[in-house]
Amino acid sequence: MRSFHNVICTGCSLLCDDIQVTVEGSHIKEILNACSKGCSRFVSDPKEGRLLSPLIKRNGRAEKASLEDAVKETVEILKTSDRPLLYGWSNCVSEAQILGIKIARKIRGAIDATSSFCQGVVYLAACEAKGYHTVSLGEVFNRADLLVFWGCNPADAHLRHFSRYTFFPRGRYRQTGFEERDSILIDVRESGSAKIARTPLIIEPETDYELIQTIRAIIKGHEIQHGKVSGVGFEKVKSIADKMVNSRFCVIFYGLGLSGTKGTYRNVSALLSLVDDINRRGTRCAVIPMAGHFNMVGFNRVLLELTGYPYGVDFHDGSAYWNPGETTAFDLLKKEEVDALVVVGADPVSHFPRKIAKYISEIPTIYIGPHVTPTSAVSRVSIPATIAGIEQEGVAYRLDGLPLKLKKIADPPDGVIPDVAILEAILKRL
Amino acid sequence: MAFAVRLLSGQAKIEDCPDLVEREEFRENYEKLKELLGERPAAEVSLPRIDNEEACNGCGICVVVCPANARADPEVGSGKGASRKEGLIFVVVNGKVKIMDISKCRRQEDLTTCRVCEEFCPNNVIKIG
Repeated sequence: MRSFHNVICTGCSLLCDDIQVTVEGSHIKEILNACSKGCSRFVSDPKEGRLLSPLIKRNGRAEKASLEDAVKETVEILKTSDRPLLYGWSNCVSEAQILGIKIARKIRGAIDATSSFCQGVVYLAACEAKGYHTVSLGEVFNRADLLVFWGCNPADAHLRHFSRYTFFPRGRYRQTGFEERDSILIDVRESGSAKIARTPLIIEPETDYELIQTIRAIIKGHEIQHGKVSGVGFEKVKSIADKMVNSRFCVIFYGLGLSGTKGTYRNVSALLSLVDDINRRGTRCAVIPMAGHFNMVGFNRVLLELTGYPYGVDFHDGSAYWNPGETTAFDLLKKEEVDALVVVGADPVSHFPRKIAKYISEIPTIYIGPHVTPTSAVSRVSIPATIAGIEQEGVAYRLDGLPLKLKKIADPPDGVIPDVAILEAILKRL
Repeated sequence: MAFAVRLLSGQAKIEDCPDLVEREEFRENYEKLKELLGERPAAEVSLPRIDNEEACNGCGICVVVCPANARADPEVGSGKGASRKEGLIFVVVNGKVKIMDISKCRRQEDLTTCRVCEEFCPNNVIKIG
C-alpha cells in the first residue's frame, strides 16, 4: 500500500491540493479530505464505466481496433473534412489543450471549449467593461472581509469552497475566520448556500442586471426614484451597496445564475463595471467566476496565450478568428456547418439540445476520453485515455487562474494511454 | 465564573467546590445555593454526533470551524485538510465526515455553549443533544 500526500483533486475547478490518497495496486483504498464530489473522481474500481479499448464503428457496429488503426481513421476523417471542429478540453490537462490548438491550426479547423457557454463569457464581458479585477483564492481567505455570492451555490456545486478557501478559514489578516467576515448571497431561491450566508437576498428571476445597475447608481451617489428593484425594497438594496463600499476587501463570486440568465454576458459586464466602481471608491474589490470543470479556466488561458482569444477560435483562413455566435461550438453545430467533430474531455451529447446531439450522431465524430459516455456511444471512433490527476500528470488551472501540477498516483488499465500521447500521434500523422 | 456557568447548566454540583463546603465564611453562600438549586444530579454533557451520515457531502465546514480542531492543527483551522486523523475531532474520510476523538470537544471543558459544528453544517448532519 502506498500513501500519496498533497494530491490535487480534479472533481471541480477548486483543485484542492491537500488530498491524501492510499493506493493498493491500482485500487484507491482511502481518501482523506476530499469531498464526495472529489471522491467520485477517485473511483475504487479503475475499470468501472471505463472505455478500455479503441473502437471503430463499421456498418453501425462498434468493433474493437488497435490504437494505430483508430489514429489512422481519425486522421483520415480530419484530412477529408472541410469544416472540422475540436471541442471539449475542460476535463483534460493543459498539455493536451495545447496539442488540440496545434491540430486545429494545422487542419484549419475551429476549436472551442465548454466555457464558451459557461464562464468564458467573462472575457467577452471584460471587453465591454473596464477590465476584469480578480485575485487569487489565497488573497480571499487571507484578506477578504466581505464575500458576495451572486447566482451561485457553492454549498452544492463547489463543496469545499466555504471551508477551504473563502468564508471559514482563519487567514493571515482574518485570524478569527468567519467571525470577522460578512457574506451576502444573491439568488432567485434559498439554495443550500443561503444557510451559510449572513445576508441572503432573494430577488426576482431575470432581474440581476437592474439590481447591479441600481447598486452602481447608489455607489455613484445618484438619486433612485423607485421603491423596489428586482422585487427587493430600496432600503435593503442600499444596505447591500453600503456594505460593499464600506468593507475593506470585497470579493464577488458569480455563477451561471448570473451569466446564464437573461442578459448573459451583459450581466457579467455590468458586474465588472460595479467592481471597478467599488475600487474607485477606495474599497478593494475583485470578482472570481465560478468555473465548473476542473481545467475549463486552463483552456481559456492557454488559448488566450497562443491566439489572443479565450475560446471559439476558427483557423479556417490560417489565422485565429474569434466571433462568438459564429465560431463557437454551439453555433457551428446548430447551423450544421461542422462535418467532422473531435471531442476531448467533454460529453456534448449529454449536454447539448437534442437536435444538436442528433446531428453529432450523424457526422463523423471522434471521442477521446476515459469513460463510456453518450458521446462515445454515437462516435465513429472512440479512443480510451487516462484520467488526469490520477493516472496522468499534467498542468491544470484553478478557478482563480492559478496553474497547478497534477500528480499521477495510480496506473491506468492495460493499453490505456494519456490523451497527450494520442493527440501527439494524430498531429504527427497530419 | 467558569464554575458558575457549569453549576447553572447542571454540569457540576455545589459540592464540587471545596471552598464552599469546607470554609466557614462561605457557609451562608452554601446554604443559599442549596436552597436555590436544590438536590439535582449533574447533567450529562451532550456532545456532537453524526446524526445523518447519508446527507453529508464532505464539505469540511465542521473540520475547519471547530475551534478544537484549529487548536490541535492550525493548518486545519486555515482551511487545509488534515494531515493526520489522530488528535482531531472531525476529519473527512472518503467524502464523509467522521468523528475521530470526541474527547477533544470543548463542550467537555469550560466552554459548554460551543455549537459551531451543528450551527454551520449546511446539511444538518451533526446534532448536539
